[in-house]
Amino acid sequence: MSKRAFRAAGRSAAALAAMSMTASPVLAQANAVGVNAAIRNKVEIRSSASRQVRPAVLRARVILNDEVRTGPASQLQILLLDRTTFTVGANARVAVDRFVYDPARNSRSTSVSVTKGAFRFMSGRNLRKPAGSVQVRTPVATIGIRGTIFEGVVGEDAMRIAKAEPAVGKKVKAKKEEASLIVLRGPGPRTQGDTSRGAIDVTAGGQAVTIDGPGLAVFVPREGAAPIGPFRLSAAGLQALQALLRTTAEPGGGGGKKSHKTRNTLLGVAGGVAVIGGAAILGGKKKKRPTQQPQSQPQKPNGR
Amino acid sequence: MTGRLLTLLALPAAALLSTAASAQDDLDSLAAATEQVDSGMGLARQQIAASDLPGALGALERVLLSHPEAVAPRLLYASLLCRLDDRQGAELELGLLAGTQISDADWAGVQAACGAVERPAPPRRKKK
Repeated sequence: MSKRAFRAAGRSAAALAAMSMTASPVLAQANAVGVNAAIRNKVEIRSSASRQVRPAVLRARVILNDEVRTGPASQLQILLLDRTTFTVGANARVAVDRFVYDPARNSRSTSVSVTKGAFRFMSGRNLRKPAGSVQVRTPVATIGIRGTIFEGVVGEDAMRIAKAEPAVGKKVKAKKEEASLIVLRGPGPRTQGDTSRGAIDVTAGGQAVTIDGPGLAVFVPREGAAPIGPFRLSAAGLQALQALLRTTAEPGGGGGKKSHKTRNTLLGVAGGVAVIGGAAILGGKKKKRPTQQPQSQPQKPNGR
Repeated sequence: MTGRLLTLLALPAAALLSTAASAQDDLDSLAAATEQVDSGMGLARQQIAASDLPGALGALERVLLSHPEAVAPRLLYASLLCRLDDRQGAELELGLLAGTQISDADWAGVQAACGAVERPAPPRRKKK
């Protein structure tokens, strides 16, 4: 090997080393799509890569396909890179399946799957513009989102709340593992400022129903069934849903100043990054998510 | 030649890393600001001033998850729900404040956003 060739090879190796140093954190954390912005009581994360279950930590990165698991009277608020807020309520199983965000074009594409429990979705900034293919999937319904705030619940709680509504009734055949109740919260037609009216399209059983008024809801009782509604969710129904997303100190919400605990442990080495220069396209495999409780790793209540 | 090429390839990766880290830092700041009631309220007011009402709602939700007993953030939360035309949700939040002390100034803020709305009952006075 000539000296010139040797020097060239050396430069190549140095450049490769430099590149790997800069690129490897990107590769290692490229699936980071947001942060755990607030945590209450027992929240765990099941890694899609290692299958290990660990306690959720405040401001730790939210990784694509990792499953959030919340306990009773527990909540997690996820803040995604596009400033979308996703709140996971009690006894829930949720994962971000897909996340595409191009801040330069203000385009985004997000898919979140909820297999169990309650949730609240609040679109990020620029509500005036269509959010693109932003959707939330439950076992029996797909919710297409057009810049809005909405809530839902999957499972037994959905059945319980919906069956108390006159528009649904007790005789509807529903499956406790997959029944889904979805309610739009806003912005409504009389919204103030420059925020635009929101809407959602709920598709189930081959039919799509559009909801564009605050307080309107649909119920999908089982797989293959068409959505029931839209109907106006009663105050009692909304209250029952809110209890699952509770931010109050009421004993019924499992909170209270004395019993309420919030993790505030900082992730010291959580310097993760996500690719957002240009566009981050993070697509996950669609897979059936287990709904059983974690078998191992008993959790400290507070992660402190 | 190859070395220069690889060096050139490494530069965008580093730039990308920097941009992405900055975005994550922004989220960290938003989350950190809502750990305390006062700073969380400050952030929410900034977002309201910037017409980011859902962002403010999210900030207040974080404050309330950490400080469920705080009154002022819930009043502002209820006001925001009114501004987003979710009056039913606002009334539900206000109902949770029954038995708490609400200042007239805070209540005026709620009325400005919600119009005529029932004021939560004040705390009961203890019998001497």
